[in-house]
Amino acid sequence: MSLARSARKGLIALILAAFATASSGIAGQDLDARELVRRANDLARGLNSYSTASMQIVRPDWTREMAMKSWSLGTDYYLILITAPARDKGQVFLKRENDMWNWVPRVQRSVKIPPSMMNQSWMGSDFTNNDLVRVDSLVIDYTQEIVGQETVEGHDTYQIELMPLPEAPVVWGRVVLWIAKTEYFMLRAEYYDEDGELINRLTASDVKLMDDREIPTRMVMEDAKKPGHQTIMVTETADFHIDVDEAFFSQQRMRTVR
Amino acid sequence: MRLARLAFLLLAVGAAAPAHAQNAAFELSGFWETLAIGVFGARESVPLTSQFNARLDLRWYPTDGWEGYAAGRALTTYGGIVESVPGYGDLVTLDPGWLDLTYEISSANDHVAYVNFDRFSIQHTSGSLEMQAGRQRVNWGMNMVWNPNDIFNAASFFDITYIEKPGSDSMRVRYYTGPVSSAEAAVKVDYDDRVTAAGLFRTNVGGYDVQALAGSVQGAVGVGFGWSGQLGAAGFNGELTYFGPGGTGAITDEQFIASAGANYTFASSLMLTTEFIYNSLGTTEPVGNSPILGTVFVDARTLSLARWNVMVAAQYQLSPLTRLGMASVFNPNDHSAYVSPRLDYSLSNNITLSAAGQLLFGGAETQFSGDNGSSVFAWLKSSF
Repeated sequence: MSLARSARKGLIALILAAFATASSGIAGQDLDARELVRRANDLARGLNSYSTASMQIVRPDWTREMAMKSWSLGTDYYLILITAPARDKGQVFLKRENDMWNWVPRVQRSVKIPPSMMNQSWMGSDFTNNDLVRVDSLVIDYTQEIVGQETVEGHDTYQIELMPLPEAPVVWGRVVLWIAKTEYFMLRAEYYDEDGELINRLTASDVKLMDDREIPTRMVMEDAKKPGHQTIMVTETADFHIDVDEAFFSQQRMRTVR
Repeated sequence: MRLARLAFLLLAVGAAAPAHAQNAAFELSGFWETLAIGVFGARESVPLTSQFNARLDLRWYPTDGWEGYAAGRALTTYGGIVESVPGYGDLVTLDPGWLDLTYEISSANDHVAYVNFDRFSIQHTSGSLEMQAGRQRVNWGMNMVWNPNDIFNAASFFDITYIEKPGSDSMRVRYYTGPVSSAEAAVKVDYDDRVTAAGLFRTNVGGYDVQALAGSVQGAVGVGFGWSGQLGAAGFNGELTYFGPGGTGAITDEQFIASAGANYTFASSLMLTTEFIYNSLGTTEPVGNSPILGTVFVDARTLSLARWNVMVAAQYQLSPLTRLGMASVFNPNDHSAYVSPRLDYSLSNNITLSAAGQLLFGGAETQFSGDNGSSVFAWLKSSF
């Protein structure tokens, strides 16, 4: 597996995890495994959310950084503004249901992104357009089962095993998540390939109050086979109750957001 | 005279912009780059050309709903091309706009240095209505390579070192009729006081962005249609434009230009793109030694001088740091070809090292005649 390819798989998982790490604030209910994953996933994004985040790709001999602002409404509507690096600053990605556009400010044009281009490297990074939009994959593309309980970083967690559904468009053969029993955020995850080999390991930390909930704000995805290969995603601010509707996610906004 | 126009515009902008300066916000970005250009295989040898370019984009948000945007580039070219191409300095310092925003700083037989402002506009937004005046890109193109719908500021695909592309001196009004649909009208005046005025409606139907435009292009009727959508998982886009007879432009014959293409990206991130252009007035004979560099005055009607051109390109992200590309254009009638390989390597967060070639294969007098010599470029670019 090439470096870029395995890194991409890692990033897919990382972004999914980033969206799957929030607290519902509702504790003590008995939830099945699927509901636990769904709850983590849904409540993480909030219905209407705004966040700023930075991402660092770390290799033994180099690092690269990006930063972005994003707005979302459920899973169907997204607006992502790139704020760094300088070369890409001002680019915007707009998703409305099945349509996605890229606004390129330096030539003042929007490019419609076709389905296959969702596989393309996003902003020259090693993750793809698809990684940004298929955030509910852990819920819809896998079966979920509670396989154990463990204490991770002082939190009681359920250990949940996810197996891909036949025909699901996913890259993993098996995923194991550690989800906090009371807060519902993900603290650890392991991603295995079709041969059962561990490929990526995720650890979440730096639990902070973001808007009305405590969530881990720092996520580190490590390549299990290549020491020193990491991707770090840090959520800097998050607001889970912004006042937006479907009309907010417009081509006009795409051209003017900053 | 054109300086007076600029003064007038500045005064108008100054008068129009509200004076709530306490909310003023500026955003500055840009880059500097240094290039080396080598030409080989030409009939007469061309020494190495060096270029040092800088670009500054300044955006000003005086208050809600107002935006000022000025962007200038300073270019210094030394050596080879300046010495070998007669009148090179005069050619690159020509400004095709109504305003003359290109200023020669220094010119001699071995170098030329000049400043060109390719954006200089003020925009006002009120709800769904946007109005913009000044030098701007009125970008109506949908294709990757050839944009016959871009009747305001079409640019040459072969100018690989000017990715921002020129603007046009225009007044533009756009009304958003919905989240993914808009109606737009624009008027442009060029250096020769010729007027292009047209309207465009764009919407999204069944996953396709579609647009229709109509107007007067330098006095000739212009009608166009464009789309961008998908066939299966592949991207599929096209632009058709009909120009009626007459007018004050360089071409006064009836003309039909069609360009369409498709692209597909594989899971490996390999992206393949193909596109063709058909020009009803284009020649099927050898096009005749048209230099592909320094094509300042390309417009929607002269994107291709040949009847047909076909482009095939591949791009591949080798690693997060390295991107490879190869673009080729063929003229099926005079059997000449252009091949442009490219490598971009990220040296740091903001510095990129690139190398590219523009290789020409064709007999004498063909569109991509090898007699003009092939070029190789190497450049270092730092963005901020």
